[in-house]
Amino acid sequence: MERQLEQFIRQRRPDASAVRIEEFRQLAGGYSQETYRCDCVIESGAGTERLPLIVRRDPPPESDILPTNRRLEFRILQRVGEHTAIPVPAAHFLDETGEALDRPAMLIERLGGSADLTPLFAPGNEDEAEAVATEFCERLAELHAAPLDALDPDGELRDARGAGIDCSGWEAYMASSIEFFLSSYRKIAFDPLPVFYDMYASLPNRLPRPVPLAICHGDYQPSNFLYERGRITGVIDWENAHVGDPREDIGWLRQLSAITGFDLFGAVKADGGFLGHYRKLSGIPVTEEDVGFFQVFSSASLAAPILDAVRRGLDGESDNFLSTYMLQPLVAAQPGYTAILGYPAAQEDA
Amino acid sequence: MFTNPSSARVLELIREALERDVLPELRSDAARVTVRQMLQMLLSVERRLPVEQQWMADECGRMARVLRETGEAAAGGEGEAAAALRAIGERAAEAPEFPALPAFAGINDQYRELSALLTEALGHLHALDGEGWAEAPERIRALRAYLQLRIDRDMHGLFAMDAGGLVGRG
Repeated sequence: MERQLEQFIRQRRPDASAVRIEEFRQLAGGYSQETYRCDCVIESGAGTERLPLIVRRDPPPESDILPTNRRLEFRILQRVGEHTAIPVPAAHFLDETGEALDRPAMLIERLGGSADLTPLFAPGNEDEAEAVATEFCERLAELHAAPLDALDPDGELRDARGAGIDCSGWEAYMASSIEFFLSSYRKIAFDPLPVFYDMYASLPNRLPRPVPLAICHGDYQPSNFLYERGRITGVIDWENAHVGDPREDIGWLRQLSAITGFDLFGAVKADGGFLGHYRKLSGIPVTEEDVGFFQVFSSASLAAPILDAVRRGLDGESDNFLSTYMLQPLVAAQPGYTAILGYPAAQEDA
Repeated sequence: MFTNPSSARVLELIREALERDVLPELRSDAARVTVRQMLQMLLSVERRLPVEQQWMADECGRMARVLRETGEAAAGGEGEAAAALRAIGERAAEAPEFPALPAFAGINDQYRELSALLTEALGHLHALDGEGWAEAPERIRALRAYLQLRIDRDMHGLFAMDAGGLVGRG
């Protein structure tokens, strides 16, 4: 793959006299894209340039757990970089069709900073944790307050999954999203999954107050940022970005903060806490009750492709063992959902 | 718990992945032999799972019966060995009789059908709740109370996320 990368970059940098890929290796982990890191050394009349790169490439279709679109991810990185102060990787090169790199892929800047939150949340480090969590809140408010037409001028992130989501207004968005969850369940439930169906079917009766649609990151959670010395150096993994209700990102962050134990939500103290600070900066009204609703809504949204991945593994459409392993997080997520939905305690003798 | 995949099917998927993804990558003969031994044992467990409890219950009855009959046959015998057989027969006669367990496939099918009905009922109840049927919240609550028991059993009895968390999420 190194030779393919060199050739690909060479084609896109006609000024280069030589292109070398160094220290190339695949990064383990992650459930969606194939991810590699390397340095690209470009020789040109201007001198020697060294680009630290991350390469994100689509997995083979039969192994794709969470199918997303590299071009859309590439574009949103460019636009967030252009129109906001949110630190994101520079988007360098895109192989949209996979012509050069076998499958669609993008080459983006490898940012500095750490993704390991264990030291950040270690006892005695509360000040740094608060600073990072507060900035994480502020970056989210900034994203949601950014003009939708600047970040999605061509409307490509409206119905980014091609699932028939109607983004013409809030009511239409919510109704079509919930219908998508329910129809997805009927197609992909490999076994009766009553808690998931309960979650989807309960949504229409709990709708919160409307707010204007905005660009959502789509996976704004403790694994998806880098930090260094109390500052966020990058917000990463934009593959699920879409036009939606901005409170989706808050619900998902609350959900993942609880699951991972890295409580970015609770670490914010300014303006009375995360929601107060976010409200003040974004101007978007959001209540605790809204957050509970969107914990369910965003979980429903992200559960659909995971359920489908498990189904494909069981039906023999995929031979990726990860499809089978996805059964583990599906079950592990359920106590969180039952808590949000207010399930009563179990009674052994009932 | 899941009816699809059954535990046996999960083991089959693990065997397939070991054979397809792991075995070809191993460098030492010793490691390859160990994995082949694992594969064989996994197949054995896979075959045992759907019949284990049914056969055990059935064979408890058969063992008790044959031991009881042996003890009875030794009733007129003399000496230490005959006395020991009579004692064994008496102990075997005290063993409780298990009812015949239905075949695993039958239980699995029934569990799946009832789970599907329960899921469907939840959908209808939420629709009725939206229309204002006063009984709906209480009926939803009753179904959820059962489901909470199921989730608790899944989490505490079956799942092993405590052994390493979510593996491979980077």
